[in-house]
Amino acid sequence: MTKLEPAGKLLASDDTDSEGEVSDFAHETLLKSLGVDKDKKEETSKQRTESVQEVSVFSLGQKSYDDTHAGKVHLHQLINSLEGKSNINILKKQINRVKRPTQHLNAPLSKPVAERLQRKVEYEKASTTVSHWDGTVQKNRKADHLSFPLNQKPLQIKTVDEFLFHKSKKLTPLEEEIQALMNGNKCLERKDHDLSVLEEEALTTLSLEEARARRAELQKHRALLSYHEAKNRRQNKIKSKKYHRMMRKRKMKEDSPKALDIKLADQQRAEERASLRHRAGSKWEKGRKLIAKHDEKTKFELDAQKQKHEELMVRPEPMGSVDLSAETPTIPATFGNDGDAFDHAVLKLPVENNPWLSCTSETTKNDSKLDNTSVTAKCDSGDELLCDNAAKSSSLMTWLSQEENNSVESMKTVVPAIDSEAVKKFKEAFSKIKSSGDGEDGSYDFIQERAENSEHEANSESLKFKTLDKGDHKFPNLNTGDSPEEISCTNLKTKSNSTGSTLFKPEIENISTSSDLKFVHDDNNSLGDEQRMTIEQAFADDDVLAEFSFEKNELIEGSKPKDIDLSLPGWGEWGGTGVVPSKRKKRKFLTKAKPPPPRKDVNLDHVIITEDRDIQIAKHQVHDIPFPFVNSDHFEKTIVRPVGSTWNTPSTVKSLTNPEVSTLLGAIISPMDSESKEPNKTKNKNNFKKQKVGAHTSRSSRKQNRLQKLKILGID
Amino acid sequence: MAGRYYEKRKLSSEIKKNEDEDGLSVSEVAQPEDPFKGSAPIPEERKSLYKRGKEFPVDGIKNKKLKGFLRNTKKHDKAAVNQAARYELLLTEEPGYIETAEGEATWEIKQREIADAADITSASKYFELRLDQFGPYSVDYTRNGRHLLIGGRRGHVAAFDWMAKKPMCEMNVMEAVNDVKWLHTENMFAVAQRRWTYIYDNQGIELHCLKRLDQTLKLDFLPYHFLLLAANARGFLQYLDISQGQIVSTINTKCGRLEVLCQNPANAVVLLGHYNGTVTMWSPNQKKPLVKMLSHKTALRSIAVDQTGNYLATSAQDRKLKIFDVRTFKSLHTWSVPAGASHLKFSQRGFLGASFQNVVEIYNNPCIQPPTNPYLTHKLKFPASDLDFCPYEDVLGVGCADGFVSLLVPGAGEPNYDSFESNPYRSKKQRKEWEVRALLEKIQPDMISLDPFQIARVDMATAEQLQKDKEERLGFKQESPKFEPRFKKKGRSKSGNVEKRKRKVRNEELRKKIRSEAEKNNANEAAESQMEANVITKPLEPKSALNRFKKKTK
Repeated sequence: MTKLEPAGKLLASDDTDSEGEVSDFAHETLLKSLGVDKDKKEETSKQRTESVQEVSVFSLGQKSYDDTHAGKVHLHQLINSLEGKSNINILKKQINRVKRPTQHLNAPLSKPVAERLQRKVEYEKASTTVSHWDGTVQKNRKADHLSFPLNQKPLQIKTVDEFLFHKSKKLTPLEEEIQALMNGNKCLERKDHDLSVLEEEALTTLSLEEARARRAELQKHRALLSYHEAKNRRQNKIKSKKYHRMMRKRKMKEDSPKALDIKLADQQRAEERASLRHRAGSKWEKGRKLIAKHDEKTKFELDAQKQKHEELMVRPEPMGSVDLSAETPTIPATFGNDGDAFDHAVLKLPVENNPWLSCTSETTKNDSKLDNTSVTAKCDSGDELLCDNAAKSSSLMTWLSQEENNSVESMKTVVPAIDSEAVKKFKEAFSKIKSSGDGEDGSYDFIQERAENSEHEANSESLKFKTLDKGDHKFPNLNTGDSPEEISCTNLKTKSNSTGSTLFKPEIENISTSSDLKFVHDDNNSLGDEQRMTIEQAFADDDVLAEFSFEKNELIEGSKPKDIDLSLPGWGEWGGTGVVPSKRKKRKFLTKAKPPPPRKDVNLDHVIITEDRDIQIAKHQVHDIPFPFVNSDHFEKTIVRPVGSTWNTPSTVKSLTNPEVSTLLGAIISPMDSESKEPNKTKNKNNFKKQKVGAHTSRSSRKQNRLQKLKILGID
Repeated sequence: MAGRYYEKRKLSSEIKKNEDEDGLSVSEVAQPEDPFKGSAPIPEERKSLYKRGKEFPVDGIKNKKLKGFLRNTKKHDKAAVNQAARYELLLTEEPGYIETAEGEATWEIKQREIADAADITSASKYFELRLDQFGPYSVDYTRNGRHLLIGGRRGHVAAFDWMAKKPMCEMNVMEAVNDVKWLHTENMFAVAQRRWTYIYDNQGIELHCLKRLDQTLKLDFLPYHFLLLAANARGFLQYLDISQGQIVSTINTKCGRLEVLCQNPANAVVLLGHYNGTVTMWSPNQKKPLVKMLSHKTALRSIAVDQTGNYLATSAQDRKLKIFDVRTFKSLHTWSVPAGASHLKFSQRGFLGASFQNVVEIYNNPCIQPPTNPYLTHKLKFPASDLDFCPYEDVLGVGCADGFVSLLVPGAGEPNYDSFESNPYRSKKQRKEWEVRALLEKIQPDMISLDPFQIARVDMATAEQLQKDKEERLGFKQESPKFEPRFKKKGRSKSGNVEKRKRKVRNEELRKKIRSEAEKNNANEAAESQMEANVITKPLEPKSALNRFKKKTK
């Protein structure tokens, strides 16, 4: 709508152009005085644009509602006149309906704009829905450990009762049958009682004594059974054919009453064995025999074999007191009537030929020399005898075996052969010591103690002898260096114990201990001050303290950084021999070295701690602090933490080495549902954002506008 | 069976009584509220044993990820400490002790009396091996304390399961034996013989003759590093990796005969005692001692470090026994003894065994308080030649000239053993598994240093320093980039020709190097000859250790 300029105004403006603002103002005041509203005038003079049926001459055409507010007649004003009529309310409603302003649809937006808006809306919606999961995501990211599928029910193991009685499943007919049987059973454990019905009954019938007796009986029975079992097992393990044969025979004897027949058979068999018909039966002999016809050597071999056989067949001499038991090996002999033991009268093997027997005889000889009648080997079994023989070669083994027996007799076999001369010597020495009187002498004291300790008279005597023997005979010198303990204080002559000295000294100084004397710790004890003085004098030259401090000083001086002199002699001066560079120049060009950091051993005069860099360990050290750390202290403290099982309990190790994610094998890992959502904590965050960033406010207001617009568009 | 029933019936009757009184069955009685809710509290003292270093603040950190990580670590740490403290409940055994009557001192008690008072199994651990033919014995127990190895000076070597009294092997090596040592298991042991060091298996079969470890006087073994230590008569200290059979390091200590050796079990540093009263500490990575400490004014006779690695006991010819703190190198206590202790040894629980001639004394916790009296004493027939406490047993093994004595020292051994670490009762299979595990967990010899946590420190060295380190490790400077011949046409860049050209350059470089070295050598020789010419030759007196005993002219 174009506006028509009022003619008067136009004129006035033309006139006042030259006159200025005053005339303008004058004009306005004039108009006011005339009661002409300038704006109203403008509006009243609106041009009619639409065709109307009745055109008024006074241009009373349609005017906008606002403009003609004052003069227009309203419908409700008209209705007022109708008051008192019956259907006025209906009319009012109708009028109101008419009165309502008509809604216009805006022109549709262009397609790209509409689509853009659509997309934005969709994005907003999606982001809001996704943001519901923020809490869950945060939580899962922070979690040490996730095990998929999530929200697993904790594993619960049903107890037997639960499993049996709270079975929701229907029972099969077989199960039902079993249950019926069980329900009636007396042995069944009851839930509310400690004992079953049967047990209770048994208790009521049995008295305590009876029960005990019964138990004892049962125990005995069980023990017998186990003994029998053990015996059978042991017997089965025995590999000896002979033994099994004997056993069989014994059984036969027990079973069959014809004992005579068996005896006869036994005898026959013994005779047969004794006749040695079987000696040529071996495979080797058969083969040899074939060759022997052509070969002298094999013939000789065969003869030798035969001879050996015969030799072995000669019966051994009966051993005086040595009682050989059944297990003595490989001596062919006839069985006695009982079949268990050898006929000792028949055993007449020359002792010299049998290495086993010769040993025992030796021991007996030795023992007899010592006038110990009781020493004769009273061994229970052949095994022990063998054991004793082996002892000859290794004394330690003997000791160990004897430790188990702990018998005095067996101890004696260890005592080596001692000739009579030595015995004499010992007796002399002993008498000397005795005559010398008090037991102040260390060695005598020792012997005395020994004698007290040992229970057996003979045993102790032999020991005494031994010690003195050691004292009398000097052992040959050893070439090797001696350990420090060999040099007693009295004999201390060298610094580093480099000279050879006798291993056992005749005078071994026994330091008296608390057991005999009072425990003395002060310096002036019996060791001999004179000796000590000589030692001190000998070592007077070694001023270790001075030596050490000298070494330390040298080291410190050597490790100090040196000053650098950059002065060039002769530069800017007269050159030649004997020219001394000026002090000023020296001062100017001398760069003084920085004082080194204080040594670790600054305050320790008696210690030198190396300041050298350990290049080997530096290889393994970390040189740069890894990313998230900014402080070496933090890094060092976290890296020091032990993770392994050496320093941690198993549960700790498990928690420390738990993988971030674990999945259950074979389980379907379905996506999370809305139930597993965590409550969001994003609200505060948004507020915080708004407060913080001022630029965002305008953006968010725009966003709100956009939303309103969309609402208007009917998209929601 | 009947007995059980009887008890049960009694119990049920009691319950019935309850029912009568309360008028309610037991099951229906409302459970009273637990007065001690939650897990049992752990005393702070016990926790402090398991704490891993000082705590660090997390508050000032800006990086959220780091902060979270550190918080998590702290949380885990705390849980681990609590768990470990809680598990102490499983350490059921208690250490042994001696109870005396009023006025009676423990050192007055004789071994026989202890054995009589103790139970049969303990009493059987007091015994004596009379082996008077093959000289003074050195002694060693395995790490689990099950097996014993003794080596007589005159060649007798025997190994056995000493608890079961079951011998494994016994032999005479027909040579002087200086020292014996078990290796990682009871299957192998090392014997330092007159010339060389040998390794035998448990059957006494010679497995190796280590000719590079010659004239060895003392042996030791670092179990976590699988290193066999050999201290030599000529002053060499050698480290042999027994898992690879290689000598890791040979150090010329320049300190004379090395007869006094022990290891610090906490950091695997080796300690040597010397004639001039100094104790030196060594690692295989440095040719100079890490620490040199003047402990006495006279020659050292023996040293020992306790299980924690905190205390060092030394004794010298000045007849004094000193305890040092290894961390500060300061002397804690000193006391006089009848003679310089020829052997010192710490037990697992900090008892100190010392031998003075033929007397063996045991001190109870000498590191905490200087002892006024010994805990136990024992008098031998001959001077003791070696001492060793048996791990996990209250037993002290003493080798002497006439054999071996096993003494009872109540409270010496650790009562609870860690079966993953060293199990005295392990089976063959367990031992094998342990062996594999131990080999997998072997610590490299590079990592031995005075401070066991140095490996975890950040080394803030400059790149220059690192380059220098690398050169020092390799022993040479890394070569400049290789010569790459230019491509030539007409078949002159065939592979053979290229190789020829390369060789030419290489030979030229080598020639240059040799020439320069020769020049340097010539210069040195010339300088030396000059020096020799200048020095006035002086007839030297024959040096002898005995010179010191000559009369002094003042």
